[in-house]
Amino acid sequence: MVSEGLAGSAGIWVLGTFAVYLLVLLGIGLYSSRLMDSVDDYVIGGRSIGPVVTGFSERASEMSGWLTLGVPSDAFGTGVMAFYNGLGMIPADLFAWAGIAKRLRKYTEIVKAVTLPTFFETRLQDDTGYVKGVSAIVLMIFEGGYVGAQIVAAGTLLEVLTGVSSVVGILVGGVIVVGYTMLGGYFAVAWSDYVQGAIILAAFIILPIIAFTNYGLPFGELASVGSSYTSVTAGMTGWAAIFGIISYAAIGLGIPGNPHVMVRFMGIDEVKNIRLAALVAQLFMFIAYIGAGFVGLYALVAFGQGGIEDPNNVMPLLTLEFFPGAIAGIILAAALAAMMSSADSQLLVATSAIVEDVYHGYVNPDASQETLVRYSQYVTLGLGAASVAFAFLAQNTPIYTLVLDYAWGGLGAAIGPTLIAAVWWKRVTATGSVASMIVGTTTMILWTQLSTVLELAGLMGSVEGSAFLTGLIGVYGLFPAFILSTATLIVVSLLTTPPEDIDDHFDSFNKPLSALSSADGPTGTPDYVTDGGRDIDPKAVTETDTIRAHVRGSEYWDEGDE
Amino acid sequence: MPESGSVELVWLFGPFAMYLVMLGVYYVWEGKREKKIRNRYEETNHGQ
Repeated sequence: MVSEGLAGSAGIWVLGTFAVYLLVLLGIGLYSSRLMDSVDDYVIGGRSIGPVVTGFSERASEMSGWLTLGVPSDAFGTGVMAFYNGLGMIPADLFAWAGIAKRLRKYTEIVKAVTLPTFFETRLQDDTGYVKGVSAIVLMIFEGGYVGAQIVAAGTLLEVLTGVSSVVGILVGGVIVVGYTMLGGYFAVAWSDYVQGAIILAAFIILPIIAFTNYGLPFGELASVGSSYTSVTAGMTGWAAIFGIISYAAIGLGIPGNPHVMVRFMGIDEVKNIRLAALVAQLFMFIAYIGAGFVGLYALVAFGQGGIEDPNNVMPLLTLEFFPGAIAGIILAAALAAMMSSADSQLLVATSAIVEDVYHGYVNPDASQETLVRYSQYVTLGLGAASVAFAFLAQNTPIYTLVLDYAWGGLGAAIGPTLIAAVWWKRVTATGSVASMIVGTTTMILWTQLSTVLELAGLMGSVEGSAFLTGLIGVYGLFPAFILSTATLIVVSLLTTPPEDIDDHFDSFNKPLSALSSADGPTGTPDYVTDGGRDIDPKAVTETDTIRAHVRGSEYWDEGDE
Repeated sequence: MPESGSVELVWLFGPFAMYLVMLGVYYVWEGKREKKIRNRYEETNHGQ
């Protein structure tokens, strides 16, 4: 009954607001494409993105359809335990800002890397090309899957709200994502993320407030629906509860491995701004996670247990319940915007893996900037088309699991341990990194299929006899995959020869940065261009410029490469 | 019932309160650290 009136009541407003939104995005894309002059600009916005935009876009690009549709649907199904979606994510994000962001920003500038595969190769001094090759393949697979998942989410929402067929929904979503990513690259992405981040944030603040004025706090109502809805373990006890909490907490392990988050750290304009960007991102996260949880809980109060057929529709249905058509249209356009935001970031990361790492790295090392920008656009188009095709195949899989199992978890397990080690552990080696990526990817994929495999092998009966084994098999795959990937990285690295001359790089993390520049001139002002992205409008010289000049002067990269 | 409910809520939102404190500590500590590094350099620079 609830879902019948959707297309008629708000569809026109959703389409109207979404059309306006689309025009704004196209405007941003066209405007920034005029300014674009190098592949650095295309991939990380010429390192000229300010702290507030970086903080917002880091969150908006990563939260996506998973946050806007997935977390509310999880809360609708499990109750207050769904707040634990933030249990690992929030502290993991803080640790990433505190422990990775500055080091990664500086180090990628030192080695002139604009993508993670290139950074890994240079940092680990890998002559074989395996590190770059394997990490580029991992990115293509999982980021491609990510784009597909976002397009499925966008298509589902368009279908439900407007009554268009899912084919049309997926096609429209795909065309928008590919179109404006092609036009503007990261520059468009970062700025559109900023706008989208603000809309999502407003939506997740206003919706629970309106619901609160109607129902008061939802907990009393939830307890009357069922005691498990107010239980932090969703009524589970023993090993099931422990593994349930571990599963939620383990989601945070994906942060360091997800390049669309890490690339934000690399794109910020000045290193000192990372502190403010972290504050913005974290506050965004608190509000969004708690807001998204409350949206699902209030939907349970408003519609009752089993009152919504498809859990993915929880957020749109509650929005339509509380708001008149026009406002509901704006909020739901924000939900669509979040999906587009994620998809375009992820598409861009996959594009850079192919163009920068494979084409520029192997096929044509002397390619001009014009050629690289043009090829980036072609590859975005091709990958986007492939993702739309994938979206058709995966359209019936729940978005929550699709993202966690086939995109977020895979990237987290494969890339995360290497990334952390690259900026913290001098002893990490290229061989260890490649082994870790392969183990992480394989474990993540196999763990997701583990119960199916055990069933086929006829072993499920003995597993079900043990609460521990049942819980373990049901735990989120990123948990075992991350542990095994990290263990592999450590063991193989210790067995192989580490790269040389790393001490100097690590020393630069703690040096007073202006001290590094003092050697370059009597005034302490280096004579090279800033990392602001464009020579025509140089910004104040930043910390990373001084490190880059210092490293260039010492020429140890040249020695290492020869 | 309401009592056990409130205990559950402490477990539920306690971690978030702790994370908020952690964020505050990070923000202040990071700011002080940067300031210290800069001051130290300025002193060294004047000394030369």
